[in-house]
Amino acid sequence: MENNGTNKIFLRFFFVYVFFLLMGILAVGGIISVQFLSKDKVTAEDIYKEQVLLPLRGSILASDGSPLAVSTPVFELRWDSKVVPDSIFSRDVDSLALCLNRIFRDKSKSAWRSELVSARRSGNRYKLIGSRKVDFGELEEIRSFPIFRLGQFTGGLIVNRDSERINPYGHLASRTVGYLNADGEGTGIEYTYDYRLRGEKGVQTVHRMLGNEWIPVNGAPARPAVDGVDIRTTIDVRIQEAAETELRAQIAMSDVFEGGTAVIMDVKTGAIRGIANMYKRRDGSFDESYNYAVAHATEPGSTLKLAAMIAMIEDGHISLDTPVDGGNGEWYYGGIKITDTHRGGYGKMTALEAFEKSSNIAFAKMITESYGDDPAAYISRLHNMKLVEKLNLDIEGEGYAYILSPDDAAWSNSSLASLGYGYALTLTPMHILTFYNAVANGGRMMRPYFIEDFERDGISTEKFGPSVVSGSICSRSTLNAVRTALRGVVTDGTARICDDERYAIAGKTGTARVAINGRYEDENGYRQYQASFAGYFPADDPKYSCIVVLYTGKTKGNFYGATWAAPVFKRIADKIYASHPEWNPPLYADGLIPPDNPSIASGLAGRNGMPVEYMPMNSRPHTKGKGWVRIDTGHGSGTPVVSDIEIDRGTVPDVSEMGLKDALYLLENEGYRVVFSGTGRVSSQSPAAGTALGRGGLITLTLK
Amino acid sequence: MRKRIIENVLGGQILAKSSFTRQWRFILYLFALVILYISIHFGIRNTMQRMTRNEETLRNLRSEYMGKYTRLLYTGKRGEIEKLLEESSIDIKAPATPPTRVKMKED
Repeated sequence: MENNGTNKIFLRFFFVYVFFLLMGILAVGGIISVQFLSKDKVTAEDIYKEQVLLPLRGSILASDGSPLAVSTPVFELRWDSKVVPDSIFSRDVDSLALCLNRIFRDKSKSAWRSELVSARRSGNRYKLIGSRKVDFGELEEIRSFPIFRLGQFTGGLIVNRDSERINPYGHLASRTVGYLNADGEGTGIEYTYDYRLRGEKGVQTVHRMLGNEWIPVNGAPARPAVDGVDIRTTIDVRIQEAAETELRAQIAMSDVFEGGTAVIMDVKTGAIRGIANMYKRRDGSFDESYNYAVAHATEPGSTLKLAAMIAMIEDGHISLDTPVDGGNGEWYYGGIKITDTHRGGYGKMTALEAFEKSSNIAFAKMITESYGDDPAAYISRLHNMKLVEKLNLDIEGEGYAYILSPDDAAWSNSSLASLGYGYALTLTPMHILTFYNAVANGGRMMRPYFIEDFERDGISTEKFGPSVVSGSICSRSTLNAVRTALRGVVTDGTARICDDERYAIAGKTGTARVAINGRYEDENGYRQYQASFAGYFPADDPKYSCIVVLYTGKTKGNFYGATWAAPVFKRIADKIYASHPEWNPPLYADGLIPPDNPSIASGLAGRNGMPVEYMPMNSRPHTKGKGWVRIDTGHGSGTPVVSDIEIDRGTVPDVSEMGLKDALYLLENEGYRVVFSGTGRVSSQSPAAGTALGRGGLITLTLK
Repeated sequence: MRKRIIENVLGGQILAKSSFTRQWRFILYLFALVILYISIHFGIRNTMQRMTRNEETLRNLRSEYMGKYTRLLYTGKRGEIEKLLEESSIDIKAPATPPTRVKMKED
């Protein structure tokens, strides 16, 4: 009985054993079959792969950091119309059309409906939804729409991920920002600085997980992608917009215009705050496909008279009061006829009036009298003022500036006269602006630049900023004279349209005829004009310089800088003025006394901030080369008196009317100890000036 | 001899041997280690998967932010605002003069 029971147990155990054995054999067989016999082999590539990590392209930013061009993931939407069941489609197509209309806003609800219906009727399995790609936020919303919310296999919505360059401000500054196409061709900053913007690709090994997700393999060699740098430009979005709007509006006023440009520069640094270029296309609309400002080197016309004027004053040939005869409006020199626009001529006038009225004859006469025996001296003066210097701009395509010289084969008897009023040389608008900016900037010529720095996450990694082309293009006194003349053009001359009592503009108009096949007027009497205005504002403390140039096609009409370019300049300047409250003096609340500009000031001459800088530009005395001076403005008499302050070792110097910084510097250098009280300028000192006091003596100052 | 060993292993007698019973704590410890190893491994995988997904979310959120931000920038352009004002026939013009600064106390 017992034996029988044991046998039974053993038998059961045997069956279990055999079962497990068979299962084991099956499992091993399965492995062998999958590994060696099966045709779809699972290889290492199915589980592991090298993944290329794409870097994010750097942004191009405006001067305040807002993006002009930025890369961001976007999504293209397609629709497979055949997978949606009939009942669902006919029930929900109306509400879907309404939702799509709300997102895209470019088509009515009924237009969307008929588009969806016709796609379905024609059996389109890859219908493009919407006229543009959408961002992630919109995608999430679209995924919740009727029909689409059923997923790809019932709703039919197919989402393709893409990366796109977005220009948030649309076409604003599009020439400067530029573009880059798939072949690597392009323009502007996108093209010139592509090697910094695009970043570096990275690579990593990834491993496939359940659910088809790929995650990086721990410990496998990997190189992260390096994102491109952001490039911060000098463009001020508001000024840029003003330049584009006003230039476009002016050009639209006449069919004759072929194009135009407007550039605004920051006086102190040479930073380009706005640059607009309009080029007329065949269909009559305008785009920015040609960079006039940088590339278009032409004969500038009367805007060059500024350089001629500086040269003649600097070389001592004329002053603003030198008399010159404009005659009856026609003058022959070297075999060519020179004319003035004013019928009957300007007659006798001063050099200043000749500049204000922009008399070609007067300038031809003055330049030939000044340099007739040595034209090369004038040419080299123009070169010394860096007028035709290569500017090495941040964006490519700089036009070639050139001055005809007596060694050239093309030099003729009339060339010197032509050089007096802006012919026989070529300059780009950017060159002219750079020159006018130098005059506005106290003679210091700044290189125009577009790029402030390269940044990562808002932190500057490489700085560019301003650079000086020439420390001083002419002497201070010459500069003061021509600045008076430039202001005179606006108050009494050709650009009275720019005169505004709220703030002062200074500048010069220019009207040049463009040579067509070597002639300024063709056989049918057609001419081509280049109307320009270059200047700066506010005239007594310049902040911005600006040039506007308009180019006409062939015409029989007259297109003057004064009537066509100057108004654009004025309207741009008005918009800039309206956003600068600090250009006007503040109002003082009750009980506050406005600070009084000192009528007497003392200090170290020739240093920034002291003391002549307190005085209006036109009445600033000449203090160059002087040491410690005392300046008395003459209490309204208009003639400042400059006297030297005597400094003798062992005697207390006179520091009255000095700022504390100057007083301390002077006294402590003389070896005295100083205590002071109050703020403002030194009103009294003890011991008094002229007292003998040894080194280490104590001087008490009271400031008021 | 060999048969004996196979019998011992298959029959389970080996587990009753004294050398085994003496070491059971250590064997248990080894098993605990193996389980710990496996669970940590899975934990890491889960974290990495979450990281990948979060990176994706981050990219998408950035896309959403940039989309909204750029639309706002465009709408905020002076020209666009003037156009909108005109469309809604609101008579507000851009200022022609700058605001006047008022000084309340000496600096």
